[in-house]
Amino acid sequence: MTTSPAAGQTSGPADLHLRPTVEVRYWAGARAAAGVEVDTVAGSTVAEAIEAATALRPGLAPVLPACSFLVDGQRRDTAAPLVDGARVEVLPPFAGG
Amino acid sequence: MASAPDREPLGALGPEPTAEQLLRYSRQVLLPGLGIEGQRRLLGSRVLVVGAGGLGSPALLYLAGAGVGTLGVIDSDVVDVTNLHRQVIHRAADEGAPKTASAASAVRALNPDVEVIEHRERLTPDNALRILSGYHLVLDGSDNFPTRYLVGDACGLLGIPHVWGSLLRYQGQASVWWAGHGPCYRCVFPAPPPPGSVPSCAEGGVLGPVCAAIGSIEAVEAVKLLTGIGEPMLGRLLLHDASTQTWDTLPVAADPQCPLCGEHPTIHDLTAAAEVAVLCGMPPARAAVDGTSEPGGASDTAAPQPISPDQLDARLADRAAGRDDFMLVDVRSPGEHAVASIPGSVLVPVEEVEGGWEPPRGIPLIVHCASGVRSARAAAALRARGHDVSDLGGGIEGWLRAQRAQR
Repeated sequence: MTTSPAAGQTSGPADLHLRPTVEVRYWAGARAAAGVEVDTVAGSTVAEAIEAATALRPGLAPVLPACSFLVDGQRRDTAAPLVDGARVEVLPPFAGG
Repeated sequence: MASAPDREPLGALGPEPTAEQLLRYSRQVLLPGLGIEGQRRLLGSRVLVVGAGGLGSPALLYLAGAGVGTLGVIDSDVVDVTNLHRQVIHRAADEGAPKTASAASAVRALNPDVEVIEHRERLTPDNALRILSGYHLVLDGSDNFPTRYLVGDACGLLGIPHVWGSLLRYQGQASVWWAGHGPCYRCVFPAPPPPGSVPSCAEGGVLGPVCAAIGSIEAVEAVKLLTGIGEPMLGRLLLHDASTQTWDTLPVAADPQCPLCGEHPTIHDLTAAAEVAVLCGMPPARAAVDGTSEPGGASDTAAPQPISPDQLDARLADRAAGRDDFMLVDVRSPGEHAVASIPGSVLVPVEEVEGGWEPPRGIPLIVHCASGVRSARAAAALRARGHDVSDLGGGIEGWLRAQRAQR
């Protein structure tokens, strides 16, 4: 719970037992940066889930600071807690018209 | 035929349609739920379209076709040749004309029933409440974050729906924001992204038909709200990816912590929207913030005047002849540089300039980008580190226009 996995290491099975398993789904430019639509990671907060996702997909790092995170249809701060099976939607803003 | 009981039509009931109008609108008057009353609502409606660009073009044409009685259009730009691949309300012959004039003439040519109000100005914190309050709803087709936050905040303060769409590259998003009835823009995007972290269409590109797809969705939502038919896209965010041709919707709820419409709002006027403009380095805030000390202005007055395309050409000729020495730095992205570049320029993207890139000492620099926004940032960063920097006013787009004018 208190120690996070070393950088570059994916969440191992032991970790999955300790922290909620959540889905992180990427949209628009975040999907392009991640190269996949969705990842399954361990995280008890939005911040932990996002950190785990960034460890899996380093290309996300420059995109995430601009993104909004939705959980159950509600925008959440990175400190928001996550329960098992939650899904974090990663929404990059854009303003073109 | 009646609308859903909880969906009151927003449009005012206009007069009975004439025989000619019944014929003109017959294909939509036939629609279940719309009918003659719906048509009267449309004819009695007042809609403001912010931006006569990629989104505003299809939205204005479809709303005009549908017979929305009063269409306001606000835009301070003139038609540029780079607009024409996607801003289909304008014609090649309109190049250089105010976008509001070009759009208004297209709307009038399509449907003489429509009264067009041209707001040939930039939407600012000074004029936003006055302008928006005259309309039943606002259709947002703006192209920058400061205007989007300004429209969102003004709509929230006035309690009018904000029909919203935005674009980048092959992607589009759309929703209806409406404080008090569902989420507002700040419920989902509470603050603008860090400056420079999200490219604009000028920097990242955009596919024309994606504008049509999202702009027409905005027009659909406007018609639904005005006539009370269907279920508006309130509380749902539409996400479109044209490259895979996928359309998804995510539920979005109002945020109780929202600074604009939450339980303890901190936004009570357009000061916060003015701050977005300053944060994003946009000029409108300067003219806009009433009686304050113009936070963006001080460093600007210290900066030398930008150089013109003609002055750059003269200096390039002098450099070729050995009479001048400087480094011309293109601070756009590699992709933009590959599409078009000024001969003799060196590519150093603005992120690298701001990240600490050090040019050789003792040689003057001239920086440019597409239109002048990023080069102003690069120039400020380099001047702060003691370099002699000139900024090409209007960027490569201005330079290319000058080249074209000479031919």
